[in-house]
Amino acid sequence: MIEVENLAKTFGVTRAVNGISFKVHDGEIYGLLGPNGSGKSTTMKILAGILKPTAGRVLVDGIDAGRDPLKVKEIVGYVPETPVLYESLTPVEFFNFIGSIRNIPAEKLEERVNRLVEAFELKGYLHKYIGSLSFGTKQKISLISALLHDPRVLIMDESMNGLDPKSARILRELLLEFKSEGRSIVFSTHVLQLAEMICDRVGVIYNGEIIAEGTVDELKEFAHEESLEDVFLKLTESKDEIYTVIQALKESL
Amino acid sequence: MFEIVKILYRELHYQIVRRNPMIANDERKFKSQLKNATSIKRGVGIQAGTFFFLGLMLAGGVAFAKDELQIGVMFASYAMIPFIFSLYITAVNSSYALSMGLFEPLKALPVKVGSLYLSELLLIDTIPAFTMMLPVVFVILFRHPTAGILALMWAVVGVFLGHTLGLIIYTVFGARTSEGTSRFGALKNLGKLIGVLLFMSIFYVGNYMQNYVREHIETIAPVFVKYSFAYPFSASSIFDPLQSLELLALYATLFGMLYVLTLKKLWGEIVEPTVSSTAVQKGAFKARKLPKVLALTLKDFKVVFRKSSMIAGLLIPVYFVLPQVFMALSRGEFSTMLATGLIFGLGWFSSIGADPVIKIDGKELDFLRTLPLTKKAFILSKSITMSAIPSATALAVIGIAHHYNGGEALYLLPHAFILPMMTSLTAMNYFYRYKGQEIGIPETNMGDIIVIFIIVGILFGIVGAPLLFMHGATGYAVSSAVGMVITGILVGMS
Repeated sequence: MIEVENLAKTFGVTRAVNGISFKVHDGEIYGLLGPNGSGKSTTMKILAGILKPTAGRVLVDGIDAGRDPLKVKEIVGYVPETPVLYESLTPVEFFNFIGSIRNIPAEKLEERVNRLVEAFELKGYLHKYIGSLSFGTKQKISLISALLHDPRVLIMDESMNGLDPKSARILRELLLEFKSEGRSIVFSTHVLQLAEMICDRVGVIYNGEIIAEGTVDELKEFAHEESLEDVFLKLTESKDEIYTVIQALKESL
Repeated sequence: MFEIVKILYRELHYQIVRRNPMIANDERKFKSQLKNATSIKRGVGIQAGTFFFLGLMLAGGVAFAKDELQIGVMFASYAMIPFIFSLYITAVNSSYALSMGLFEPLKALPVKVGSLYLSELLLIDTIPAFTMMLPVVFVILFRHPTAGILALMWAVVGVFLGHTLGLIIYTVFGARTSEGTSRFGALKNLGKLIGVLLFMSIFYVGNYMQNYVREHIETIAPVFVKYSFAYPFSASSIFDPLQSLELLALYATLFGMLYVLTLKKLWGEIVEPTVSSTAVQKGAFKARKLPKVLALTLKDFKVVFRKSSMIAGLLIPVYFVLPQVFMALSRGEFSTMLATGLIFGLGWFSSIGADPVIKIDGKELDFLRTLPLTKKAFILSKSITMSAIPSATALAVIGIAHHYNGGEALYLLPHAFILPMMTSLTAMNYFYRYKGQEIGIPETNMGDIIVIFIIVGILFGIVGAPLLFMHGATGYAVSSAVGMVITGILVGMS
């Protein structure tokens, strides 16, 4: 379970996250939606123990992420939006490195890696330098590396980016399996149909604040809209703006 | 056209600064660092000044040369410097610039030969090597004006030849992408290490050549005359203007054509690199678990050996003790006391390795921060990486001392490990002295390295003191014990 209370984060004079609160229960997929620069990635990095909050509190399975980030990192699997990996290592070397740092028993590591490599069809890439692989393949490696320690909490920041349809489907099924096992998942995406499909609850973050929260149906009712995309555009004040921009583009092109 | 090269230069250095997370997160430091790093004038100016100063030392030899023959031969031996420097810069930096994705935006544009921009970008970095030749050229110009002008032209040709060969090397070997690890990967890495070490020894070789030429001028001169068409011997023709001009024209034409052909081929390789994949290993994943600190160290070494430019930074302590080793070997004696001094020197100069070791993790530090990794484990692993090459060199020094003096040299064995480790731990504790467990890439500058030099100097004084007051095995044993205690304290502090 994740509990976020009055969380704030500032960088210099920029207030990236402005006193947000929400809860993610065990066995729940929580979608954090918002336009670019709204504070999603910052929030997710704080949940994963990577950044320290300026104010407020984050409890991940009862552990304070601000005070004990190392313990949080032990139970969290974090997938960033852009895979940051050691490009001069091979996936085999990289997974072994993570296994050693996370103290995963060799047998367990071997079993998990081989299972995930099989699922994401990475077998042919195991001994190639990561730097020579495609973006999508790197994203798969990043995903596998976040799952190796069997995390109780998963933080996924637009992690479907670059995945082929088959891998995206496998990941979706995997997330639903994790959910059924009682794990908490925080998920951000710009593909709103996907969010509509897998998220139990959704929080819309805008200018560092959560401006709406609830199930997809609750949000539709709240905004009087038919799709999550329309709800999102309405809440983030983008809907009217879009038509003006499109009109201007049509006239100028 | 130079506008594009300026943009590429700025972009290259912006990428380097941006990948220093400690600076990237501090807007003020980031901006100030960026201002210096992206300026061609400042970047090249400082380096050119340093190289000009080194060139003054070379010019001394020419100033006091007794006749034209000696000046010509001496100049020809110096002409190797801009050639090798330019070759190295071109071969190594082209790989670095392209791996940064610098030319990706150009691929989609209607650019005919984009590699020309790469060539110009790399030539900017070879300017310092050229400025090193200037004092020599000025001295010759002052003594023999015509020969001086020809010397200047040969220096330019030297840079151009090295640059063209560097481009050829990169086009033939570097631009091709290796897909993964091969059975001979370790051998290749060893070859790379030896290559870098040899390159770094070039100044010693130059110095050695200068003395050798002075002592054996009568024997060598005919060889230089016989092979005077081949660079760098050809540069000794500066006192025969007609022959020199003919050779210059020949080189300019031949390498000019090669340069144009290479640029076209290189652009093709940049747009669509040839992928070699025959030797890549295959097979399922096999787990290999290591303690955290060792896993981090092993990762560091893999990264360093696969990015050849980083090896140079770690080899610097070796570079400092090489002259003493050469001198001692040429005298045919290598006392244990000399070996002791060298091992203390090696340990002391290990401080310089702090900068490259800290920079091994660039943008990947963001990934390390997602792992449950303590600052202590990080510091210990960096200390081991930093002390590995100095310790290995110290062992080699002990081996030589053992050859000349027998078993007595083995008393130094603990020092080979303790001293570099003490330095590494001191440096890492200094740079990571902030509270909290967060890991990062601290800013390292020459001032910090000097402070570390002083601290390590005091600690080495304490470890070395027993050797002054107690003789033989007792002195070495007590000294080792003191060193171990200090190392233990430093490990505890990290």
